[in-house]
Amino acid sequence: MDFSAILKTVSILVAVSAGLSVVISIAEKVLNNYGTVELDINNGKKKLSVTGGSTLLSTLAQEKIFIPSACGGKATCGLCKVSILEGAGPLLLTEEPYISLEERKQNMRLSCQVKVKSNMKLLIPEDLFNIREFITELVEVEDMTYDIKRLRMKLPEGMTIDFKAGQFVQFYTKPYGKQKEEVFRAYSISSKASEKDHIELLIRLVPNGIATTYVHTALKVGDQVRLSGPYGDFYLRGNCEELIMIAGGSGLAPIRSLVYDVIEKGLPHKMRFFFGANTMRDLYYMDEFAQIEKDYPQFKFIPCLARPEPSDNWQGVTGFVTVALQEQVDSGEGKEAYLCGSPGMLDACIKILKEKGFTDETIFYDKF
Amino acid sequence: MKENPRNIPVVESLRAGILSRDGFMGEDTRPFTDIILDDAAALAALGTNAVELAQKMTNLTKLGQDTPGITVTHKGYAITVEEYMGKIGCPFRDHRAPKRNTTVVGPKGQEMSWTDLNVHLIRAHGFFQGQGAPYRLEPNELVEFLKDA
Repeated sequence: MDFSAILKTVSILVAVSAGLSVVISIAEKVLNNYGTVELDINNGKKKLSVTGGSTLLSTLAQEKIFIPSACGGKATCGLCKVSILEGAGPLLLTEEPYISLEERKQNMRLSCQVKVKSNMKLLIPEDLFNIREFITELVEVEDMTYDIKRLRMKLPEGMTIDFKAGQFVQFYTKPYGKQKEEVFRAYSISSKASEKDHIELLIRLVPNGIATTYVHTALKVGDQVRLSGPYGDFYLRGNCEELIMIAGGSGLAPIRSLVYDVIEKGLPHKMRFFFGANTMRDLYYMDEFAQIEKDYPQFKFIPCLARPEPSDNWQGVTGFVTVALQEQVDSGEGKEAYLCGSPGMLDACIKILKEKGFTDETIFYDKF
Repeated sequence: MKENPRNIPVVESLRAGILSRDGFMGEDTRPFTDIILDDAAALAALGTNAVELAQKMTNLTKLGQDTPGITVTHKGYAITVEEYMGKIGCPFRDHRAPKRNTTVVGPKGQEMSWTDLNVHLIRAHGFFQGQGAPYRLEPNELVEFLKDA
């Protein structure tokens, strides 16, 4: 075959490929064009006309209805469940691990997986309508330890946030480095619930973590940060005499907010805060909690170091937080426990608390 | 090769920036199904399989997970487990693994690290990740490393 014949063949192939691309593109537009779709929320209390084709989670977010999600809509956290009475189609494989048999009877679905293709009837808890989006400005970044940063974000002028101490917000990253897409993650609020014009978060760097790497390497003071919230049912119940608070690492965030809430509201509860760390370099907010302890006798701060260095001259509790819990908490009588930390720490502490008489009704923690 | 439609959500989740910053494929251009088959063949040639390896990894992690941050030793292996808040989803959408890293120094001084998600991917899916992925574990190296565990 001579050169001109090869050129001709290649040209034909390119032309055919281009033609096919156009056909596929048109077909996609036609097939994925679901037009305008009606969403009926809570038996007609709210009706929305939306453009079909996206997931229910993102469609609702565009309408400023924010469903909680800790994984960014990747079907890995199971938080974004809503009841869909009509229009969802069959349960998807990606949803199956997260929807129990009981929940299937209630038509629960993962809103991050269900696509809006036809008219839908939904049931959404009323309190989710209070969740709002905030375009904040990052005004302070502080290294609390070698791997935990404190972020302070100012809300837009005139805007305030009403949250219960212990709740979380969703934090949206921007594309950075090789990261081409926005992602969002859930972080507990560490600031006081009484301070409504800003939000503080404590974020620990996770190896290979998308959002935490963004915070630790790309985010700068002055940057805009998109948040939505508040979310979650980790907040003070207070049907007790004493609050046992337990945290490790950046799990200190919601506990700090809870401690200030009890103090500022003048609540009578005694509080004991067990904070677990490995060495001195993992401890932070030490001076602040020591001061609170001095000012408010109802509060006792118990930092525990698992492996203090000789140079630390550590005089406090040595051992895991579970050891201190075992030794210093006699029973669950008249107490509620509030925990935030890694899954392993939570499991170990919950086991001890239950042995001491705490129950599922008196132990509180975020499950994501 | 045309991707099986059932695999499309998996392929999407394996990409960088979806579930983790660097993803699970590295620079590997093979379909993930081929990576699994190739690694399974390598293991078979060595007389073992993914489930056996995952069990040895789990056993070592368990030895260290009750004392995060503290190194424990067992049969010449020094094991250190670090834990982080939250969980990470499996790209095959069947599991959420705690964010837990295990670093092990072997009897000959060699070091290997894995996450709980690594172990799940190996046990449940035979997936050791693509070449160049940060948490790729070479099956033959892992077999050698764990032979005394």
